[in-house]
Amino acid sequence: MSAKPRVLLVEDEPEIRRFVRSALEAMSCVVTEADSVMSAMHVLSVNPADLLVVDLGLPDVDGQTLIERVRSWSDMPVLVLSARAMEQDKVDALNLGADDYLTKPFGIAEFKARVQALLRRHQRQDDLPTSVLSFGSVRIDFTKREIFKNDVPVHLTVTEFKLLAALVRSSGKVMTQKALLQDVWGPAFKDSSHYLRIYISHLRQKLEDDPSRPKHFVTEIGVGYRFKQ
Amino acid sequence: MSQHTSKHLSAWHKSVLTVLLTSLLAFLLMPLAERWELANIVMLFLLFVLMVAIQLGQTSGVVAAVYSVFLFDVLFVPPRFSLEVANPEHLVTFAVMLITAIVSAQMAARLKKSAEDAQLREARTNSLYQVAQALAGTQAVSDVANITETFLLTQVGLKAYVIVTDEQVVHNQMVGAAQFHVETHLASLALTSKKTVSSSALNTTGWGCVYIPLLSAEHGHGILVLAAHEDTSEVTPEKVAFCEAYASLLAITLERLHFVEVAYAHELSVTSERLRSSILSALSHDLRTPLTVLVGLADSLATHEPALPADAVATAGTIQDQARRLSSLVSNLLEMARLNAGNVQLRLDWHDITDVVSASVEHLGDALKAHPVSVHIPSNVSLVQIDATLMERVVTNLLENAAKYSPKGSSIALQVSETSEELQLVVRDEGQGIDPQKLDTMFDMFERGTKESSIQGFGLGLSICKVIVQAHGGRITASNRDSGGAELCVCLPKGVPPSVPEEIV
Repeated sequence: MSAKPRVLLVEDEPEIRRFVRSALEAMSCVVTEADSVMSAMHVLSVNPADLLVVDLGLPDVDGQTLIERVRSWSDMPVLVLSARAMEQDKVDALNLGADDYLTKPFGIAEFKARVQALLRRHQRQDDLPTSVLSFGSVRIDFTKREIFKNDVPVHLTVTEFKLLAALVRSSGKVMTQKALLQDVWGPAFKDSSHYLRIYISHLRQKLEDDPSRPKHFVTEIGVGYRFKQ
Repeated sequence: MSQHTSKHLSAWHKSVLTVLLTSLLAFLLMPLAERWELANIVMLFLLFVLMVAIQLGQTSGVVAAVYSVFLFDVLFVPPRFSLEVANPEHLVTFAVMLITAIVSAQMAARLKKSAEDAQLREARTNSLYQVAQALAGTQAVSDVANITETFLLTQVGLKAYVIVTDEQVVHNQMVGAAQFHVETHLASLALTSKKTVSSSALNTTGWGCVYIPLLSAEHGHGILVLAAHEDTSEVTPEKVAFCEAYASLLAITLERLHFVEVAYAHELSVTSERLRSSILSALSHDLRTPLTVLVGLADSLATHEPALPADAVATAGTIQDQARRLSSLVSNLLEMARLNAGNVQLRLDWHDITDVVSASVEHLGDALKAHPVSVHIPSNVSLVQIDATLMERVVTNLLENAAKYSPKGSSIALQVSETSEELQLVVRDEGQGIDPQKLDTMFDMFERGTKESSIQGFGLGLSICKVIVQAHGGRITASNRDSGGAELCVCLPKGVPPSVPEEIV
């Protein structure tokens, strides 16, 4: 990976491309632009990228097709930009392999944070997973399976711990409920969303300072959950 | 020909004809009286009776038999030309002749009748087959009605009329005008009882006297009404039976047309639904794109390097706030358009209300910064079956409203509680409260808490909340608190969430 991350921005609206490009360049990324799925495929064939930022409403083919094609040969992080009206489109894009999404309109700080999280996680993937993690007043030792909140040991059941691990593995990134159910309970449970609701609630009760206003186990309504460190 | 002649002659005419023919035969046989054996002459008479019975029917056969015996006695049996019988043996001959003649006449007539019946049945079966083919090609109910009228008039000489019904109710959905009076209550009776209803009292021309329901497997499609024709015919049970057979063909045809109509209507609604949703999503895309550009560019100005003067940064911040507010209005408008389109499609799933509330608070972000928000949700709150995206809009609108109509710095409280039946979500603010006169109308479209005020909003928010909550089978109410400020309450039915096994380890 080169020192400067290369980003391919696929968006048909030139004005949106303009400010997104300037935000990316402020993060010292090298930006290539494409305004359709066809041109994006063309660019990718000659010019590999470290991150793909793609709008779902493209003029030729929808962005989901692009994600599906890219996922067939690459694990590069994909950030989806979408309009709020289309919840199902976002979920579909994520289930097809997109890593995260941003709802239009979005602020630049928000955008930068998402991009940074994706690039950082992608770089870190080869490293050994961190065995100790701290967030808020919680400290987790994954090798010893010990959890402390305000230095007091907290007991998590086997499933609660599996769910916590699944969320932490994708820290900063949204996980669809289907992906979480499959990860933690197995493929047979991919429609049993009530399991997920109950166990997320358990994690919040045990680990959040104010379970009614969670800061770490955040809901992405209609989509899934996101762990924020 | 003979068949036609025999049909059109009255019984009296037939008898006269028979007597004449028998006399003619006797006259022709007279010269043979002395030369032939009497037995052979008897045979010729018997043959004659048989033929009369075949051609002119049973009654004529019997008349011929009796008259033949009489003429035989008078003209052929000695002493001739008197009723006297010389040889008592001849009385046996008379008896045998009479019995044989009558029995054979009866059998011949019966045979002929059943042959005629078979022919008629075949002709009717044929005609039914042909009319079935004609019905199979019809595209409209009016064609079916025309075919029916013509067919039944030619086949059984009855006037027919088809009433098409809808959902077991006899409407005035009559095809064309009937040429006779139709008793609607008899038609309804036929349809509800699923049996043919006939009224002999109405068996006069000008009144529909037989009502046959047109039934298919699922339900009734109409009624076939029959009436006698002025001069040609009356209604007989045999004709009614034939019409009932035809009615089953008619029912199948009407059912086919009904399903064609249903399929067409369904296709139409699917197409218009698809069109509506593609218009809304195109509109959403077109409206949101410039807003995204506005928010993004204003943000770039605010974070520009080198930094712009402070008031320029503040201006950029205001532009961004307004663009976001506009975006929220656009969302509400599009949501209302979608909900108003009629069939709200809820994507129901079991949800923790905490998810909805925390997502709303997160979503509003800066819009709530001037108001401390306290959230109280019981830790073991029951799951509710809701469309989370829509319900998030409800909570967001309630919080946004509370922030909009209460002074800066005042706090907003959101509290969730539950009874055995329902889940209650209450949002309380410390604003000026709601005008008591507005309490009833505030959930109607375009009602605003304060008329012509500087507070922004279309008044769409609460009406959207109402539509969404009602679609969930819940209710939304507003009231003023004694301590000041407004209180909005959403009640959602709880249902029975699926169980999740308790984990021990």
